[in-house]
Formats: sequence, C-alpha cells, structure tokens
Amino acid sequence: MDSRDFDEIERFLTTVGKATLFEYLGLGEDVADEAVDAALQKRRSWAQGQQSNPKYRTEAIWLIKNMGLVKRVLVQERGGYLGELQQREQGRKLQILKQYILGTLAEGRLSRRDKAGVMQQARALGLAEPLAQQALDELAAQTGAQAEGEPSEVFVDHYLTLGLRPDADYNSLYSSYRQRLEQLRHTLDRQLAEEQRDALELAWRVLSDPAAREAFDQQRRLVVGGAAPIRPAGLPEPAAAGPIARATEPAPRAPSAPAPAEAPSAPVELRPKLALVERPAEPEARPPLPPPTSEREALRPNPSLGRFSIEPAGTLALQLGKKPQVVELKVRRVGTEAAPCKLFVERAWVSVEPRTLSGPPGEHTVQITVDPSKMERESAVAIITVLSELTGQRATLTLDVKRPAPAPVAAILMVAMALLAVIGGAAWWLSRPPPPAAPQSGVLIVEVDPAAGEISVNGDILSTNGRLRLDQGLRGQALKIGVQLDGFAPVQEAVQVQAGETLTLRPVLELTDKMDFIPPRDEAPALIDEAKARAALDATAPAAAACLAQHGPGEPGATITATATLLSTHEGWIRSMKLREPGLGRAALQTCLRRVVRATRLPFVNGYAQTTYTWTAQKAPGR
Amino acid sequence: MSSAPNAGVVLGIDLGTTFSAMAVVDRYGRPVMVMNSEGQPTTPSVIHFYDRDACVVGDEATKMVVVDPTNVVRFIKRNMGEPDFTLEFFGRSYTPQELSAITLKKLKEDAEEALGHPVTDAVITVPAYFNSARRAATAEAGAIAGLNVLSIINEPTAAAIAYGLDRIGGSRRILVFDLGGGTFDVTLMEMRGVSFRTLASDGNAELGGKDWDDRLLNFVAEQFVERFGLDPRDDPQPFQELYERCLHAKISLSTKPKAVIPVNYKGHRMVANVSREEFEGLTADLVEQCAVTSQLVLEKAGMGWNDVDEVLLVGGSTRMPMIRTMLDGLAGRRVQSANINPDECVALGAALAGVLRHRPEHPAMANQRQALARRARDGGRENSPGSPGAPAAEAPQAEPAGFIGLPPVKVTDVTSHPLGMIVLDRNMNERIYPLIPEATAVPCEKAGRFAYAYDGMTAVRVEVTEGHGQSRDEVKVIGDVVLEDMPPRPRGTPIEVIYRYGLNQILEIDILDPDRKDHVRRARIDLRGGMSQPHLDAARKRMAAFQVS
Repeated sequence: MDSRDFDEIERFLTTVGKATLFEYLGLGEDVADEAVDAALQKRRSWAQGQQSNPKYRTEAIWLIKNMGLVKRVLVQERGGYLGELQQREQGRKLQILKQYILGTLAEGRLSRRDKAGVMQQARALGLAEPLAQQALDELAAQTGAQAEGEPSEVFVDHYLTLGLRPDADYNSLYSSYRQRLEQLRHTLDRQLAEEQRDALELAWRVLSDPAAREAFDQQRRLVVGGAAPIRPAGLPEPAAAGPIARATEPAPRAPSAPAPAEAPSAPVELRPKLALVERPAEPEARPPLPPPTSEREALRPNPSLGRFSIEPAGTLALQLGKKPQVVELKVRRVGTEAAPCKLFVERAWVSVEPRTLSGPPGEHTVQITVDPSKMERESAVAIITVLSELTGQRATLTLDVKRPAPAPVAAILMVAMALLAVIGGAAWWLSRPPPPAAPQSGVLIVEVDPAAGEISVNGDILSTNGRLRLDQGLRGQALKIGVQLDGFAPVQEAVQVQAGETLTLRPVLELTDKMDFIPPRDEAPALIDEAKARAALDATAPAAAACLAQHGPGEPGATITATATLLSTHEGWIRSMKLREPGLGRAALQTCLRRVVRATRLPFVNGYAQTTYTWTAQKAPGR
Repeated sequence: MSSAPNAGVVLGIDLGTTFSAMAVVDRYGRPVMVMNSEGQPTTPSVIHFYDRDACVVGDEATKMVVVDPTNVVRFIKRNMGEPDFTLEFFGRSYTPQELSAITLKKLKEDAEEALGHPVTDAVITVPAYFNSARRAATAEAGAIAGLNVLSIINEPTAAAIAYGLDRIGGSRRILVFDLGGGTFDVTLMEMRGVSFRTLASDGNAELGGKDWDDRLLNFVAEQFVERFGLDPRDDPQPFQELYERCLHAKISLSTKPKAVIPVNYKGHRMVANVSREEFEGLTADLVEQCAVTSQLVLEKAGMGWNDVDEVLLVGGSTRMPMIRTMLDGLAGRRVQSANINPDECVALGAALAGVLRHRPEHPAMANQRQALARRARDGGRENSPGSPGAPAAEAPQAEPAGFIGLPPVKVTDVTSHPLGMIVLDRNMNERIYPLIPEATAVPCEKAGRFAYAYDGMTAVRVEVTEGHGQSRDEVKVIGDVVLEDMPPRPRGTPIEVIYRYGLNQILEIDILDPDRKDHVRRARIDLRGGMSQPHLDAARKRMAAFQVS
C-alpha cells in the first residue's frame, strides 16, 4: 500500500494513542467486511456529532475527511496494511536492537557473552536470529569492533575471572573457582549466570592445566606485561610432598623438568576429587622452547623479519565423535624476509603436521589431528602455539574439545554383553582409570546429624548433604574436616586416616538459631512450589518421626501427630515452627524437631514462605 | 431600468460561521436589515436534519443540539473549500457547499417573505483571508441555493462601506478588526474622496470566538475530571449543555466580572466559578495572535498606529473587553472605535456594495447624480450642498433631511494571497513564479512571459499556486491547466500566460502563443476538490426540492 497513506494513518493513530486501525475501531484483524462497514458507520455518526467538541474535534474531522481512505485500507488493502504494520514494527524492533548493539559495542569489543546477550535481546524482542546476526555483523563492521578471539586485540584474563593473582596456587584456584560457582546460584538472572559459569569454567580449565596455564601466562605477559609467576626455587616436582598437588610453573625459557600432564578436569561434580590424589601416570615429554638469541630480542619483535597471522585464532570448540578429526590451520607469513615458524602442542591426542613452517613467505596449511580415542576425559583443552623464533611473535589456537561419553550400548549388544556378563563386566571394570598402584588407601566416612550441611576437607567443600565418603588417596595425611550448616554451630575436626583403615565421624551439630523468625509486617507470604516443598519436607519425615517417637507424649504405641506451621526465609531456610497440637511443648521434642526442620530448605522464593506439614509417629517404648 | 418596482433588488448576505444576516438597500439608499421568519435580524448558521429531505435552520436547530447532536450541523463555514469533507444525514451525504446552501436557502425564502417579492440576486461576503478555494465554494453554495451570486465581497470591506458611507470626503484610514465566530481578519483600508481602497489585509481563517468558547469549556471540563474522574465531553448531551452554559458565561463575562457555570454529569454536580481575569489568562495566547496579525497588517502597508484614524470592530467577539484592551495597548492610546453594530454592519455593507457595483440604475444612485448635477448647476450660488439655504423646494421627492443619496463609491478589494505558477528555472529546478502579488487591487490582469523548457514539447502545463512560498510544498496548488496537441517547438520558444482575477475573485487563465496571436487556451480555474458542474446542477435540483423551515 502507498506509504504516504500509511504515514497519514500512523500520524492519526499517534494522536489518538492507538497502535493500529483495528485497535482504534475495536475490531479483530480478521474481521468481516460488513463488520468493518458497520463499525465505520458508527464511528462516522459519532464523529459528526463531535465537530464542536474541542476534545474530539480534530479526531472527528480527520475521520470524516479520510473515511474513504480508512475504508479502503481496511477492506481492499487489508493485507497490504497488515504487512506494512508488521514491517514497521519489525523495523522499530530492529532499531531498538541496533541501539542495544551499539551500546554493547561501545567498548570496541565483542565477546562471546556480548554476542549471547545480543541474541537474547533479539529473542526477547521477537526478532529472527539471522536478522539479528546480520544487524550485529553490520554494526560490528561499521564500528570496527573486534570479535573475541583475536589475540592481539582482545584478551580475557582468567586470573581476573577468578579474582586471583597470577602466582596463585592450585588450591586457591580451586577454592575461588568453587566459591564463585556457588555464588552464581544466588544470581537471579539465569542467562547472566550461565555466561559467568562458562567464563569460570574456561578459566578453570586453562589455569588448572599447567601446560595450558603456562601458555596462557606467556600470552598474558605479552599483553599485560606483568611479571612471570613467582616460583619458589627448588621446589621439587611433581608435588609429592603435600596432600594437594601443586601446579607446576616452570620458568618460561629454562628447559623444564617434565611437567605433569593431565589435570583433573570436569570439576563440577562433588564426588571425592582426585585433587587429593597424586598426579598419576608419567609426565609427557615436552619439547623445550627454543632459547632466544638474546633476551631483548625475544621481547621485542623484529618487524623487518616479517610477521605471520593464523586463521582461525582464539578458541575453537570441537565436538568430536569417535573418529579423529582434522582441523586446518592456515598460517600466512608475510614480510620481506620471512622468519620460519614452529608449532607446539602438549597433548598426546593432538598431532600437528607440519611442525615447522619455513621458506618464502606465503600461506601454509597445517593439519591438526585430534584423536578422541586417546583422550583421557570427555572434555579437555589443547593449546597450539605458533612461534616465530626470530621475531618472537607468538599466536595460539586453543582447542576446546569435547568427546561424547562412551555411547550406551545398543540393545542387541546388551544382550550379547549380558551373555558375556562376567567377562564383559570385568573388562569394563578394568578399562576404568586404574586406581593408583600404591597401597590401598584409607576410608573416611562422615555422617552429620542432622543430615544436611557442607562438609569440607582441608578447605574444599566436598559434600553438601551431610554425608561424605572418601576412599581414595588417604594415606595418613592430616585432614581438617569442617562441617557447616546454617543455623547450627560449625564443627571442625582434625583427623588422620592411615592407609587401609576406616574412620567414621558422626558430628552432632548444635542448633544455635532460636527459630523465632517473624515475617515482615507488610509482606504477604510468597508462593512456593508446593510439590517441591512437600518433597523437601518428606525427606525430614524419618528424622522427625524418630523425634516424635523418642520425645513425644503419650503411651508407647500411641500415635502422635504433629502439625507444624513452618515459615521460611527467602533463602529457603525454615526458621519458624509452630506446632498446632497441644502437649507437644516438651523442650526435648521441640529441640529435636527444630533441628530436623532447621536443616531443611524449601525452594527459593521472593520473600518469606509459609507452609504446613504433618508428621506422624508412634511413641516408642522406653523413656 | 425595469418597470417593476423593487425588481432586481440585491440581497446582501453575511454568511458567518455562527450567525448569518441579510440586508437590502431601500430606495433612499439606506441599508436595512431583513428580518427572518422568527423576526430576528440574525439567524444562527445551524442546521438540524430531522428527515431525509427536511431540516430546520436557525434557533430551532440550536435548541435541538442538545437532544440530537449527531444530526446537527454547526460551524460548517470552517470546512468550506475542503475537498474530502462530507457529512451524512439520513443516508445522504452533503458537501459543505450544500450545507451552506441550505442556510442560504432559508435566508432567501425568509427575505422573499419579508419583502414580498422574489429575490435572486445576491452578494455574499467572505472573510478577507479566504483563499480562492473557499471563495469558490461560497459562490457554489449560493448557486446551489438558487441565488445569482453577483460577487463575493470581503467582510471588512463591507463593514467599512457601511461605516464610511456617511463620512465621504477627506481622507481617512480605518483598520477593520473582524473577529467573528470562526474567522479572523484584519484589514487596513483607506477612504479618500469616494474611493475605498484596501491597503493591506491578513488574518486567520481558523481563529474565532469559537476558540474562546473551547478554552472555557476545556477549563471547566478539566476541573470536573480532576474532581470526579469523569469527563463531560465524552457524552454528547452533557457536552452540549456544558457548551451552551459556557457560551452564556463568556457573554456575561464581557460585562460582569465573574460567571458561574454549573456542571452536571452522571450524577455528579459541580459549579465552576470563572472570573474575567481567569478567562483572560486562559485565552491570552489567542489575543496575542490577534495582536501579532494586526501589527503584521500595518507593516505590510508600511504604516504605523499613528496613521490609523479609526478602528472598526466587527463581529460579536469584539465585545470582549480584552480585545479592546489589546488594541489600546498596541496603539499606545485610547483607540477610537466606531459606533457600529458589530453583528449587522457586514450585511449592511454587503447590500450597499451590491448596489454600488451592480445597480447603477438604483433610485438612490440616480438621486445622487441628480443632486450632484444640481450642485454643479448652482455651484456659484451655494457654498455647500447641505447648507440650510439650499432650495429645498426643488427636490421633487420627499426625502429625509440631509439625505444626498448613494454616492458613486468606488470600492477596491485586494488579493489576499499571491497567485503564481510553477516554472522551471535555468537549472531545471522547480520554482514558484508569482504572477499576481499580494494586495493587488482586484480586478486585475497580469501576464507573464515564459519559454518552452524542452525541445519538442507538445503539451504545456500551468499549475496555479496560491500562497507564499518558494517550493511546491509551501504553496497550495489550486489549479491545473494543460494545453495539449501543440506543434513541437524548440526549447526557448516564448509562451505567454495571463492571469485574470475577477470581481468575484475567481481566476481565469489564458495561455497565448505570442507569435500566433490567437487564443491557444482559455480556462477557468479548475479548483481542486470543488464541485464539478454536473454535480453542481444535481445539487441545485436537489436543493430546490429540499424543505427548509
């Protein structure tokens, strides 16, 4: 339809504050033509009566003069009108998105998170992804913003992500990583939390792996110009001395001792971590870095000798199948005198061919073969470094590789496996990473009363449900066990578990909370997911029943019912319990039930929550 | 001269936004108001349709405004000349010209009843700032009503004639300040001897007393909304009631310092008190507009307030004290305002103008000629025409004392907007070339010489523009004349375009080929959005069958 007509209608609609003609007339968009006529007729009669009314006169006169136009648009050109409306709407949304993108690109950088944010905004606005991507590319090209991953421009400092100094040890790395992950649970914006978790995971993966960390340090030094991480001289490696192995940080240029290869990865689970375990297996031989001709030369690239660029650069995420995958790396060497380049990678499952690029300047293709079958774990990071010895220029390509877990066996194979169950089972058992060949370790069992709380060993939180079992790597080291539960007094214990022995700890936590939470006066209780609350409280039933059985009133065998009104804070901790039935006021019972209830957490809500629950038990014989 | 007495009487009609009036000139040359069928000199320009072919005009229609607002037409003059505007009543749609024609028909019939003989010729007034589209629409309205519109006259000019005819002689400058119900004009006129000349004119065709009413109404309605959350303007009946009350309040505020407006809507009652100061505060910017326009007119004429001898206040809205205060403030002194009836002077002047222009054989004019001839004959013996020693016995007819008939006054109107055409300049860009500038005495004829823009042109198009401006968007294109089937001429061949602006202020265009010296094309301007001739005829027929009471 004619855009002038559309503009005229838009002008009018703005003055009356409606978005479309349909809205103005109170019609649906698929209304019949007769209905349109009737509505217009009614509107016209109204308008004719409004000519002297200052409030509606302009509207009325516009209507009278443009009745033909409106009728035509709504009846004959309805498709065109709706299409135009949609286009304008999309144009408006695209404008908003572009403003958002410009704001995001204001710093001149486009990180992955920014991109995700832009996509999320596009989704919220209801724009299609290709459209958003196109707008993003356009504006990024216009403003010259650099996407993440050009090592010479954008640098993500993983130390900053974890809030550490570059000389932080493995322990602090891990603690800070865990702490920050934990803090994320309290973030209300789940999208942001996801992005931050990604950043944390990447930081952890790079920094926990000594080789990766070293490469990262070198890159960081070039960018940030900080000092090399301090390494106390003479520290023996690998760390066999302390319970926690230290990440080794060999000096960047000295020929280094064999460095430990695999670091424990996938640190998300709370299983007893191999962090307590010595580094297994033999270290991989790492080719030494070539010494520079002189120290100053290594730091300052010699431009006359030419430069190179690699493509792709930055981080490449790979999802592998069972077969090895080849990644092609293009290295372009330019300059009057092309300096030769060397490629390094410190992974057994990555091979690079060729390793040296020399000859006249030009483009070389390097084949990087990643072999998933040689990978120890499902996800790992490999850093391929391209180094020009004479100029000192260095570029890296980080491969973030994921390999699927061993696929579940097909049904037929399962049958076959079942037939060979014993042999198969043994073979499968044996193919697991072997436990250390050292003498069998001790076992530590911790059971907290009440069955909740964070159990930490030497500062690492290893369990959050009050139950812990450690059975690897305990050979008489000193362990500091800590138990923490909200509302209870914390407990600390130092133990030593010798090899082969089992130690069970059963700390009983003391309730320190008076359970006298009073909700704010002007706030109504928030709605909670009743099913989840019920599930959480069902878990308390055995313990509560035990309490009732032991401390409840009445004759042995009598049924005791306790109905409690429970109030929880917004974090979910139940901090107030009022029993309805009389006769349940005995201090021991109260304390017992309170301990059970205080250790329970209802689902998170935006405010305090209230729920009721009933426990039943039979009075136990005896006291 | 026709034998039938009173034949060919010219009805002077003031077709106003809120009120209309009509007058004729009696045989002595005095203009008198013609009463309508209700016995009033002025008729409200309000129409109420109560059936497909029947309607009521005037006070009765005004009463029906509250009861049946959808079928009542008011202020239609504001929409005259708008091309797409039609109103529908009982399944029939009417253009503004037809609705004005209904009012004119009522006036015509009432005049015929009052005078006792048929009336066909009329002179209709329009605000001086009306453009040609609106003027043409007014002429069309007259035609549809069955009147023979002799000319369209500017309202300030008519008022000046009514005022100045008794004061012929000498030279004086009068500023006519015409604030009607819906339009506003300021005109500076010069009376020198027997000629009335318009020096400059300006105005606003959309500013009038109605806007003062609107301000008061909005003020009261907003107070009601603040108090009760309901708006009486949303319902037609309560709105009309409130409007009537505001009208009365506005009128009483001209003489009393305070007015009381009761509001009653959906069970809520409120009484709004408005003082004159508050009212003046509400409408201060409207008064400011009037002041600015007055200053502009004086600047256009190159004169100052000291050159103005008298100010004519025309239109009922000038009764408001704030207008007088404003004029006094502008002039710097107490302004002399003529003692004329602001509601009636335009109709009276229109009647006079009609006779002066179109009825040279009118008895009053003849008397004047006789009196002048007598004076010339007895020039040596008498000092002055009206001296007590004049031989009264020589006058053949019995005349009122001191009466000398209608002098042959020459009335000159001027154009209110410049007329031009769209041409291409040297660089082939569009330009507006003004052929008839503003404030040119009407009737006028101006020619412009142009050239063919391209080689081998076989058609020429003249787009007539009205208004000030440099580009196509700033002016209003009021007409389009296309001349086709011409032999191809090389670029630069001269062509002449002549604009003729007549007494009825409608434009005629001639396109001439100066070499061939014959009429190539003559066109009457085809007003954009006006009614076409067949449409006009049909409307006229329909109006004849219309019952207007």
